[in-house]
Amino acid sequence: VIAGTLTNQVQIESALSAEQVEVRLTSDLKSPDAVKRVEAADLGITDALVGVAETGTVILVTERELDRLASALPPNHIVLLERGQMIGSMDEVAAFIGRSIQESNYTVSVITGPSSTADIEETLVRGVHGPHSLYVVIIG
Amino acid sequence: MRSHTLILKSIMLRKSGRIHHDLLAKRVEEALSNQIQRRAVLTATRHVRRKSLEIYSKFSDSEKLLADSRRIKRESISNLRSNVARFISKAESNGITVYAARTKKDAVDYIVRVLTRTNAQTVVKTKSMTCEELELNQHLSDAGFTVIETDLGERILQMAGQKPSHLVAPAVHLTSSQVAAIFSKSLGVEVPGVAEEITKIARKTLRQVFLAADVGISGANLAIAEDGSVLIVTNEGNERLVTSLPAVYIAVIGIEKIVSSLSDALKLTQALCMSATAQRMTSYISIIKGPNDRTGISLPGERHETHVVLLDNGRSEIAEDEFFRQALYCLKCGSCLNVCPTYREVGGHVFGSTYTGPIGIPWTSFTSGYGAAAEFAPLCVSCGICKLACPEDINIPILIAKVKETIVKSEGQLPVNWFLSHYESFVRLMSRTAPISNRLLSNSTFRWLLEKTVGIDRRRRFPKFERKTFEGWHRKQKQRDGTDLVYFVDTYANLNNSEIGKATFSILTRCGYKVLLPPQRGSGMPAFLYGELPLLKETAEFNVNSLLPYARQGIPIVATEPTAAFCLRELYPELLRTEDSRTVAKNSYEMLGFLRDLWDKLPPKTELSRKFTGKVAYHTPCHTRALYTNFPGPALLREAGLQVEIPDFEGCCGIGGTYGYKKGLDGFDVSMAVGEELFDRIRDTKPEYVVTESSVCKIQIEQGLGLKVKHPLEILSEAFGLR
Repeated sequence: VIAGTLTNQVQIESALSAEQVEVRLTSDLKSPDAVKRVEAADLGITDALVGVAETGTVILVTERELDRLASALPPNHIVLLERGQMIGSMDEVAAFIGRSIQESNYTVSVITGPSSTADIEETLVRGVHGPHSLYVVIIG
Repeated sequence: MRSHTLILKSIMLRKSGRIHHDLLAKRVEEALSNQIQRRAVLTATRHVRRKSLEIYSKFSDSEKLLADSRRIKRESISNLRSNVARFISKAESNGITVYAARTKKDAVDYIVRVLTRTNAQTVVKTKSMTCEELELNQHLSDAGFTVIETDLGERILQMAGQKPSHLVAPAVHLTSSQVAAIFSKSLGVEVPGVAEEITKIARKTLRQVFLAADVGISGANLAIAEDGSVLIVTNEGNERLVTSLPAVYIAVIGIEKIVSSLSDALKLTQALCMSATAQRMTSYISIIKGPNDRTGISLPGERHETHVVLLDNGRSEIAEDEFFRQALYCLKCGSCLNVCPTYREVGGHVFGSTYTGPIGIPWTSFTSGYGAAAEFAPLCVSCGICKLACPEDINIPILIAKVKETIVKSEGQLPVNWFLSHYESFVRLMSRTAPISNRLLSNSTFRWLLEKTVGIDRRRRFPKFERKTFEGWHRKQKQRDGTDLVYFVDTYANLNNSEIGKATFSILTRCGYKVLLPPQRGSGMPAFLYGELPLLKETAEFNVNSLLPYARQGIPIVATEPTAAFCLRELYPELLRTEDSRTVAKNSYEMLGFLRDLWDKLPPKTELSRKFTGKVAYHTPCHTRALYTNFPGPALLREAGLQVEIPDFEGCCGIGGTYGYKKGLDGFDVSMAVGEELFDRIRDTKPEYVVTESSVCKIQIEQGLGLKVKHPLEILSEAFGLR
């Protein structure tokens, strides 16, 4: 399942379809079973508004929940990030995203790793409710 | 208090406040006999604390980050009222329905109304201490709704029918095989005792629950006034599903969580992550602004309704209290739990109600009442390590002492607590009657009697009492003229071990000081431990008044007992809040730190190394930790030629001043259980003997370890050939 505008620009959809991968765009999902289709995907591909160098963080800004769910439901998540959209530290985040999230009820997802837990005897386990693996592809 | 009436009065004191203590003793007994749980909690809390210190030191900006977070929290609470108003107006303009709940009942009723109106059946929840405060799950289940916890730790506890035992790691008290048993029983299938397998099963079963849920309820780590948004921190990512999949979402937030700006919120979040889970950032931080189907087209997987329940429940009143306000600075990071010596032994089901651990005592007092806090407040031994670990620098020990004071006022004092609050009078009596008192205190019949009547454990060894006091010895000394210096001697170096006083005297006179001993009382710390604050204040005022004329002239005041130095420098000014107490504090020093600065005035160091061989273990007492980041004792002994080993241990020896004197489960048993870890770490270093500057740590270590414990000043004065 694919969400975001940057994903269109790099034409992932056509590339994956050529490889016989079943691809769905969240923007096309409008039927009542849309969530189930996102849930059934093995991989979610989304873009990020900005990356934070110091902490290896990517920040996703979404308006539709289906776009957010593309990064939350599937067991794998790939984030596309433009090289120019990089800032040094968390201190710069507020100034960077503050204005771009004002116009609407955007949800900001600050992601610094795959879903994980240490609730059982401090043992680190990946992939609790979200993806167990997270890849960031820097473009440009 | 006249000493001879002391014992009699404590025997005759009505057996007040005993009910809570008896219940507590029972629960402590169960916890201490649960070896599996003790090991689980100790291992986990130690692990997180260690990792958290590592992450602080790994990032160069963490000092600044923590300082910023302290400033931000202080500002947020001073502006609480306006932040609440700004948040409400902004959130409402985002389309969020905000409900300001004055009480727990108001909040619960509102949530039930929303659930009823939307015909909800199933609710998915994130971990939320604020919801725990409401006992929300119980209320919703009573009203006929099905509530499913989705945080793994919380889900385990829900299946087991237990409450969280830690603010951050709710199931910290359970092992993986216990968790597997809980899962197996609940699901009716065999679940292996491996965290990865358990997690897989949880993911699979909860995913179906998520997809079918009608309402999502979460807590929040912060709320942001400038854009009316809610910030939630997780690692599992369950919150991302709770807030997106159900059509209705409700956030339950304590009003103290509101900060002014996104920038402030992100700073606090980082401080929280580093302290709570020892991560620079957790996997997920979500900032949610409101419903996102405002286009009017109901797309699947879009939130239609977003509610924020802002809970007051005593918070705004606390925010106005000059003293208690600081409790609201709490980030719920759990650092104070991870270092608390008694919490680590008994766990959060004993040391806590909803809110667990040290900060749980004040938080319970204002969210659930003093009666609830009284059920576990006596477990605090006033070591003060929690304050040192708190990223927000909340003076948790003093808040706890204030809570204890209120409990004593309403429920009465335990005779043994009253007796030990007047410990100095007892010591003076024992000193005056030495050596008979020493013989009496080692007589088993007398000790049995003392245990039965007063409540002092017969197994606790008392230090020897001396008839010839340091005060008396000092009076006879003919000192040459020198630079004036005041010695605040405290009870131990005066009445139990005047050798320490004499060693101090010899070193200081050698450095050209004239040692003055103005009228003074013991530090009064025992009264602090039992919430006898009026008594402590009286002692503090006496000492401050007596020392003030010297402090005003800039004459240094030196204390050899770290607790006494801590009282002069930190506790008295915090308690009295007067200019006089601050003047005294500014001129007060702990002797070892004072000596470090005098080092060059002392005899040549080359003489020293020949006198000592062998290895010693150095235990740094809690109150020394409160005074320094760089402890002077070990460095001085190394200069003197000793091979000094530092046990791998950051914390309290367990005696807690006089706490470890109390009988059985009221003190002694817990005290020795806490001490075990330190004793093991000291044994690891295979020392000839142990060195510590605290008289009470000495008593505990000698009793628990059977090794000789020396005071660094005894060693140093010998090293300098001054004795």
